[in-house]
Amino acid sequence: MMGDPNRRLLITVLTGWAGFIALGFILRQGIGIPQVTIVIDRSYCEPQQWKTVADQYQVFYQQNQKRQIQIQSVILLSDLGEETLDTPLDPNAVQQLRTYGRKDPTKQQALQQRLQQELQEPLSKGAAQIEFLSCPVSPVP
Amino acid sequence: MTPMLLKSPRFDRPRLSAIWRFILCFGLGLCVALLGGCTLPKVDSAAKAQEVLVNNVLPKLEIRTSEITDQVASRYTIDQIQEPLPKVNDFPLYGAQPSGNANEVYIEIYSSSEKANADRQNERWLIEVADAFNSRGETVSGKPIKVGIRKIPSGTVARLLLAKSAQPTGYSPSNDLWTEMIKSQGVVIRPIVRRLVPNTAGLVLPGTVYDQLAAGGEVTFDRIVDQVAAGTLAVGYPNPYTSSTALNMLYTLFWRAAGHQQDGGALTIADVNSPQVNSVFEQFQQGVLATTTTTLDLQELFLRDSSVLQAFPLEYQNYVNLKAVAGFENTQFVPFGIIHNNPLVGFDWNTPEQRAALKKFADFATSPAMQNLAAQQGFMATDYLKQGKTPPIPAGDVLLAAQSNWKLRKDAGRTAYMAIVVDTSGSMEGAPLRAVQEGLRVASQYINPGNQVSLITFSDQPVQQLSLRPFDEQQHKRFLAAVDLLQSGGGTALYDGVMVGLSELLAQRQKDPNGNYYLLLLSDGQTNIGYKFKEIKDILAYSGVRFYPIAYGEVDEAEMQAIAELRESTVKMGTPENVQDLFRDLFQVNL
Repeated sequence: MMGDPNRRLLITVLTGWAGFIALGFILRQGIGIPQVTIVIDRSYCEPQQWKTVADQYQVFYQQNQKRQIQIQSVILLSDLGEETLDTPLDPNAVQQLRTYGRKDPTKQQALQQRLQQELQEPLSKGAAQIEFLSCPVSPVP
Repeated sequence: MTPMLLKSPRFDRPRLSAIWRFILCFGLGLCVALLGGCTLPKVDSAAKAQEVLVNNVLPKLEIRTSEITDQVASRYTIDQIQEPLPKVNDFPLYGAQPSGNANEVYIEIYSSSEKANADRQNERWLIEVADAFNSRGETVSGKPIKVGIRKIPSGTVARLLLAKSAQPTGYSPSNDLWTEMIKSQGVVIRPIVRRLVPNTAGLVLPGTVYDQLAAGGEVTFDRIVDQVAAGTLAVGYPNPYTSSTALNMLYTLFWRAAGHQQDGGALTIADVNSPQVNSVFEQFQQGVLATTTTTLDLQELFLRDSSVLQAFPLEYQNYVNLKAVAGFENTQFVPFGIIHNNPLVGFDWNTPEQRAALKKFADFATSPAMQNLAAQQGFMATDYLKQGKTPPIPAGDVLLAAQSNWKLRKDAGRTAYMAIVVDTSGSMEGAPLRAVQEGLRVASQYINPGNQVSLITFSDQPVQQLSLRPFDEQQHKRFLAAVDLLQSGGGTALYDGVMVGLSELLAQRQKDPNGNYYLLLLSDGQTNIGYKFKEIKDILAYSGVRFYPIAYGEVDEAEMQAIAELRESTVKMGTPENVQDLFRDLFQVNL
């Protein structure tokens, strides 16, 4: 049988650890790193303007690397359709992406509404973000 | 005892057999050494193919070089190449024949092949209609009407009409795109009937691919194009200069890329030239496996391996008949573009009697009995047609701009390299070689500047006539000079020639791994000098180059077929009469 001092020490340590872990869960739920969905509009963009998009993406990528955010998915949106990538693209890959087609505001709007619906709960808690990256200047049709 | 031993035959035999053993072993060793030297090392990769080609094959070849100097090339001009027009009488005429009888009204209708092919039971509807009409004894102004149907591809008729080289009474192409094109160039047409029979263009997909796409929603043309652009689906299509379905697909792609599916508006030339539309087209082209000269080629490639070629365009009437063929049972059809109305038009050179005769014929062709006959041959109103949500018919000059744009941008930024390897053995003397020379000369105008071609000939030995260089004006002149100076004579070192052509392509690929690499081989016989097919077939197989064999005579067909099947290609049967068309079509889609 354990003596009283050892028993009290054990209880203190275990209680402390339990409290520490519980605090961690609470912090994680309440103040977790944001889950970010990045939508990249790859409608036709002049190469020099596309660099702006790639630079913006690089900022998010670096934040992801530092665990300041977590990139949950990257969605490539074009006039023809969309492609969802579960693994974040390397910034160089984004720089090399071919852009094509017309900008389609209707498609972008529809995607935005869909994502807001899917991520309604985490968005309301501030645990999720949706970021749209697109060519800064629309080329003249 | 010892002397007896020396005299014993048993003692003499060992010395003799030792000599014979030595000779035997020496001979065997010599054979093994020779064989080892003759047998090429095993090839099991692209790098090994190039290594063996350079280190083992080429050193054994006696390659002659006969490069054209700039001085010789300067005597040639590139802007006076006249492409001869096809002769109308080379195309078959069915139904009534022209009699020259002034007491009858003879009308000749040029028709697309899917309804005027007498050799195929389900592709001869218009011929059967003409035969039935001719037997009815219809008249106009008291004169009997006689109808002839000439089977000519829609694009060829357009060429002839634009060149004012033919004046048929009537014209029934597969779709309205051709009539719009000729209208835009000043040919005055007189519509007789908007639609003889209905047909729909669509993309054919393997059932498994269709089901995968269907899991994500309705399978539409847009979604398929998206998959092609994303590189997850490989498509092939025929030449949009000659194929009605490919032209429709090209137009629909441009129309969609211009965003007109939202406003229903017409495609314009400004749309065709816009960076938004061109970027879609170039992205789409990244996923194009092959552009072939005919739809039949695509069917063969699809049957060969539908995991490689996963979609190609076809008309519904052809698709219905194709589904009965083994290998096509489990395919699906996704419609797109304008409806193929098979219109019937006359021209302003028709006499009033001819116009009236065309109208009577059209009325008969669109009667319920004849339309039932058409449905039996696959001409049906699909659900897509009945929905009525199709792009508008574009203006002809927009289509011409679309074709030109396709030719300019089809390589999507890549350079195309082609080694042209031509047989100049003794059996090519005279008309066969002259036809090849003329064919290459005419076809050379279809090579885009910036792409590169080389010319190698073979007879007793391979000869480098022209090295790979960008096809600018000077290279074009060198090409014309090299072709003009070809001479025949000697044997057939076929595969030696192929090795020389291939070596330059593979060396170039080290510098430009993103290029498109082709080798066109024309031969009228079997190899009888130099390397045999079985010795170098692995080099061909691992080279990654697409081969276009033209069988121009008594070739080894099995070898030609094996070469074609290494990549997405088919064997072309060449003759002096058609070799020019073969070269033109191959250069137009690949270079």
